[in-house]
Amino acid sequence: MSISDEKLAQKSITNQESFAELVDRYESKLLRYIQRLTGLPTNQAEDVLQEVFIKIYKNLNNFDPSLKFSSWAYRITHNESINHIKKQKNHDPLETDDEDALNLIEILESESDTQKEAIQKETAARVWAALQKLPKKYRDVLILYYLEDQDYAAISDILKKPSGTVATLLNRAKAKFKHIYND
Amino acid sequence: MTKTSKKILDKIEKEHIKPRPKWQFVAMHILMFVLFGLTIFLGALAVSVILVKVMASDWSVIPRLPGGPLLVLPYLWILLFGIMILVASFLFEQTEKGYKHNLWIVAIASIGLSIILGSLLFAVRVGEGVEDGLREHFKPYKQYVEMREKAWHAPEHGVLPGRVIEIEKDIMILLDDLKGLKWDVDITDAKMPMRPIKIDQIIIVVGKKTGEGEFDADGVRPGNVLKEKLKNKKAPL
Repeated sequence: MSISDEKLAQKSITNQESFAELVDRYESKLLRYIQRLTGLPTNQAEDVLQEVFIKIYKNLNNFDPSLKFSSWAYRITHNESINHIKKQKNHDPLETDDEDALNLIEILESESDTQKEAIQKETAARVWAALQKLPKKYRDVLILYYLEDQDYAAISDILKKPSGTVATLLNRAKAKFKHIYND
Repeated sequence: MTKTSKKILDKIEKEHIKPRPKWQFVAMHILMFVLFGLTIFLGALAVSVILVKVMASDWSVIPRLPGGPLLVLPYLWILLFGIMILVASFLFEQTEKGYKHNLWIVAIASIGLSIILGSLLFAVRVGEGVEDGLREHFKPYKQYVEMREKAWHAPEHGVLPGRVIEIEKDIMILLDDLKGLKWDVDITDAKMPMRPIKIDQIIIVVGKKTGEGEFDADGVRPGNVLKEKLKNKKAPL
């Protein structure tokens, strides 16, 4: 049985090999999350990812073992990505792959029990256009819940908001997204 | 080990990056709680001074004043209390698990905590000490109190505060008001306080202005709320 992320994080304080193992476990998830949040091309997103892991390493002693390591790592990634966007003066509009967009619309459409549309490239473009039009607080919860598969408690820990607020934000985000998408 | 993890370990090695020591984080968390406690305490001090002001005010006289209660409320302390509650709620949210709690509940709990602690401080006369200390050692506050006390000076509306200079038993009082004017106050039909009026005492006379420097009293009350403007004035021998 492999060691848990939380134990690996504890071991990483004194053992760099353990930290490398943590990096291996999380690099693809966090890179994808950075790209979903920032729309950066892979090479730039990798730079942000490196900063994220360095920050995680520096702050290992601040990791609260009562949290999931995953939530803590996502929180740091979220903050670093936001900082990166703020620093970037000429930020390109949010871009990501079509698969993400198709996933999101599929989930939202099936929840509302409306007839499934044939999802095509155009639909994906519309989904991302709608996501871009959403206020950041709504976009963040939609991405975390539908694309990153995080539950309410994890989103609460990542965004540092009470669970009740996360639930409210998610409901509003879904409604707003559908409204913008169907306009 | 992947390319990314190797790159990161190389950077850690090359730049001698180390995890920050645990004590720094512990100290930061403790500092947040200490600052939170401090703001609650300052909020409680504000509550205790508000209670001093409210208790010292003669609420039967206030409706006669132009502007009523709005004119005599201790706004400065209410403002300080409000700011402390905001800061306390913000600081609590910054603590390790603070974000898990609804900000409104945190704010309401902070208000409750400050009011309970403030009432205790009031009971042991800390509020009075703070108020007196500020008036004595902080000139801008002294000026502010003087300005606020002027709200009680409304002879045209039947409220005349001042210091007793002379007493003619049960007939007349000579009063020095907040603006330094002398008043002959007819107390023949006035309801007097339980304790006899003394020279130098600060009082509030309720009644009717009958002429320049003349006032017909319906009642005489101790002027506990008025301390600053009249404090250093001495009655002539």
